Amino acid sequence: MLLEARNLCVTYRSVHGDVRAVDGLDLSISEHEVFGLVGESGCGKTTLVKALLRLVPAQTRVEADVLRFKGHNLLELPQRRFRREILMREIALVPQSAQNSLNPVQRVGAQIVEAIRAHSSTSRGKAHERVAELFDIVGLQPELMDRFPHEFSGGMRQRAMIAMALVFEPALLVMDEPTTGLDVLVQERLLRRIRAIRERVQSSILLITHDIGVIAETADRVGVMYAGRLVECAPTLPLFEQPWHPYTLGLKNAFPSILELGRELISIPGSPPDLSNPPAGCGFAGRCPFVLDVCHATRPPAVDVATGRVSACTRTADIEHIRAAAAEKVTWHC
Amino acid sequence: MALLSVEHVTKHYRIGRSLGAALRRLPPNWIKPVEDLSFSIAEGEILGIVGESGCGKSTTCNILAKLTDATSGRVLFDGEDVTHLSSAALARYRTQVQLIFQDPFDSLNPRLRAFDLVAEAPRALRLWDEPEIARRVPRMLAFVGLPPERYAQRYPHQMSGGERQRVGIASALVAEPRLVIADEPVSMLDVSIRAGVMDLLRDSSRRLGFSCLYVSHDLSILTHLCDRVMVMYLGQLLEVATSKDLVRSPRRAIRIRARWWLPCRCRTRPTSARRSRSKANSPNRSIRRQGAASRRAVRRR
Amino acid sequence: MNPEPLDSVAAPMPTGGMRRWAAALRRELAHNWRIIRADRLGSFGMVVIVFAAFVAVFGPWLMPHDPYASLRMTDGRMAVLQQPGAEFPLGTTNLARDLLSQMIAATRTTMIIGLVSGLISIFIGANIGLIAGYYGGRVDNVLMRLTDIVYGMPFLPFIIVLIALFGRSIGFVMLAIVVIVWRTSARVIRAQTIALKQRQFVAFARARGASDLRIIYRHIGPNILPLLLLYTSFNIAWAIVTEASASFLGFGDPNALTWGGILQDLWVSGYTRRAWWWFAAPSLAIVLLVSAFVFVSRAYEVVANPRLADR
Repeated sequence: MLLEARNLCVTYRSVHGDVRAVDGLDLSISEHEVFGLVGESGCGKTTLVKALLRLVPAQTRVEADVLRFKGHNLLELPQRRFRREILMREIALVPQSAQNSLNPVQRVGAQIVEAIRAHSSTSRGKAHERVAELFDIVGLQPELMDRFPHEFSGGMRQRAMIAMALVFEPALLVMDEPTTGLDVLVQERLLRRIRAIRERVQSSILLITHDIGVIAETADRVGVMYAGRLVECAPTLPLFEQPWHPYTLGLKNAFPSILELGRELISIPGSPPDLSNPPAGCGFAGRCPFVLDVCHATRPPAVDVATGRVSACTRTADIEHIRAAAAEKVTWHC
Repeated sequence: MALLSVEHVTKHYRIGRSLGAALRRLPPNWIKPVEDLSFSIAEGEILGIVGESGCGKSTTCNILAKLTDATSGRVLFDGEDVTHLSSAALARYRTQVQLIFQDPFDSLNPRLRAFDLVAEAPRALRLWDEPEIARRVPRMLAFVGLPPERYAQRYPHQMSGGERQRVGIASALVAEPRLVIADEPVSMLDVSIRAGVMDLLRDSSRRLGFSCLYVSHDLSILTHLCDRVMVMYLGQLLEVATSKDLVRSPRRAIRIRARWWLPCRCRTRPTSARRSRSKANSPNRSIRRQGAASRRAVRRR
Repeated sequence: MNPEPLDSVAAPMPTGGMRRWAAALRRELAHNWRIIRADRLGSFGMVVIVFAAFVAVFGPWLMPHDPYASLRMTDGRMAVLQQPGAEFPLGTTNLARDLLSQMIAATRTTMIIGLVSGLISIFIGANIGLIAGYYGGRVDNVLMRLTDIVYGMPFLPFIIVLIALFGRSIGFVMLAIVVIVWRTSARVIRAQTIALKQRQFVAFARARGASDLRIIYRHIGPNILPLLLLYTSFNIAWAIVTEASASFLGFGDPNALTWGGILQDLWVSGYTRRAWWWFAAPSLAIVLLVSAFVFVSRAYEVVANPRLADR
């Protein structure tokens, strides 16, 4: 088990009070695995990642029963050791809008060399070789090292940022919305490249996105996140063929499928709950068409519904009926 | 008769030359985002345009919305030549043709409330007096799914991406246009809320009876929404077909791939789908070369 | 679909463009008031400004003596060059005039000149900046070359020429101030306008049918309001300093006393080294008032940079 988190809670301070961005999340990522975390904007995905990497603002509380990475207890690791050993070396982050994170007046190769030399005592020559190697892994031509960021297209810049993250061969590579803002064709190329990188580099990848299509193509296991909680977790194929949670069923409805060309797309009405006042019961209860009174009262625990599959819903017993009903538009928009 | 007819429209930009090039009398470089484009939209039709970035679809939207002028060619709206308009005629044109923007986070003035944003078109175009505007704007907000008592006084930063885009749609529809141009309206929204916004557009088109030109880089959206789809590449129109025909039996070998969410290891895909997907993986080189050759020819000219 | 017309829209929208601008301005000022209150220096500055305004308005009733009258002390002697004491809190001049009364009388003139010139200069600068920034091209060129020419104009020779041609009067002092002070705000607002012009919401407004003027004043304008208020404050501060300099050098209106004018009297009398109280009062007043406006501007910086503010 590379990364294990149990009951992770991240609360940050804002002018409107405390906001519980991540509320009792259980997560486990194995070695050499691509784990996809999918959820709407504002469900807490980015906060989760920032909490793992201690990139959250000063007054944020990060609490968990267990938060272990490769044997280290991340909660208790002193800051200096964390920055020296874990950040960038074991866990590397490709942040959201990474394409805009490159310094526009410095050549791309030089920026990565600088990053290498800032974090280790490598000679300039060796650093250059490493950058050339990384460019090869991500599929960029070596002569692009001497170009400026504005000469790169969006997809190329994203790949340059992935190269920067791979510098120290981290055990866990975290990508936050890598395909947002890119054309579908460019997304396709990037995802293929991510799969190729995965073969060569042997890192685990934590892929965060709101686009289920990206997850479908790239991830081995998927976690569906809603309102700061993980509502379903399963290997990719079983998740898409047989979802267990109503939210996952709702997400599946909103995506076009090549198998059902004429099918109407059904959106989920309503909007996510306000996390400054987290709901006592199930986070999805406000929008779920299958809600019962008990759903508002108590938080459904995450139960094992099949091998390696977890779902946090009270009505797992009725799943056949729920799946059938979720395919009809009237269930959601009555 | 077609509502909108575009005939051989071309748009060129000149790029500046360096001093050395000017002294050597080299011809100036041109960018041609749109080249000899011709198509038409019928009344009540939803026409889609699909293409990758740089294929000229945004420029086409801007030309039709009159945010920029075509270099050559004609645009006919309802039989009338609207290629070059005086300001009075332009105001009249804008009451008939409206534009929905791609970026909900930048296209709304951060200092205006939802009410004022939706009221902008009628006020700027002097369509109705204030009491009438005060009646119609809340109705339009409710129509797009934003209850006016909660949303009319909100600023853009107090709304989510989907809500902002709905305000954008309301502001385009309130003037009762006959043609709505939607420039990738959902591409910056979460995938799970796209369906709601697209359904809103489709239902509004039916109820209010306007035609729609829907631009996207994602074919899956277009086949869901549009009657016919145009494929653009390098500023030129490659083909026009109904959505079903486009996916099932493509006329040309170059295809734009769609974001189908099938896992790639899934073996339950029907063979026809798999065939069209693999065709999509190898763009027809001759067309690409044609495109490149025409660009070289243009530069030489 | 048949939703009833909603009459319960929360706050009734004022009709008419000008009234909406006024409403927007009022909202902005109310919001800025909160911002200034939160900043200590800004609050201090506001207190000083309010105090000065109070003295300016109620001056005639607050003055203990006639500022131009030569006064006698209780024992009958002329109160020439008296140090600050019980009878004359700020001391007297060489002509036995009460300095406190002079200061109070001068406050009104100084404030008026400062505020009026400051506001006129920001009005001119902002409009030139908006128009040059929005239209670009030839309009921008012409207006910016005009600004450059004015930048090249040195203050002192300009005011000397003005006074020589037209004589000393408040009007020409204000004219000279306005000409010098509008330059920077024009440049800054033009830069901000150019940046805002590229934003999508301007294209939005154009697509909805807004004319150029409507876009400039209804759409871009409110977005430069924070910067505008910042520079209004600066301009008033600069106007006060410029006026004090001009008056000190002798170019002020002899009939309208200002703080700089009091300093001029001191200089001309030759008692600069000896009558420290005569020097202290107007100098401190000028420094205090100008600093107050600058502190208030500093508090506005939070508004001008939206990331620091929480609306």
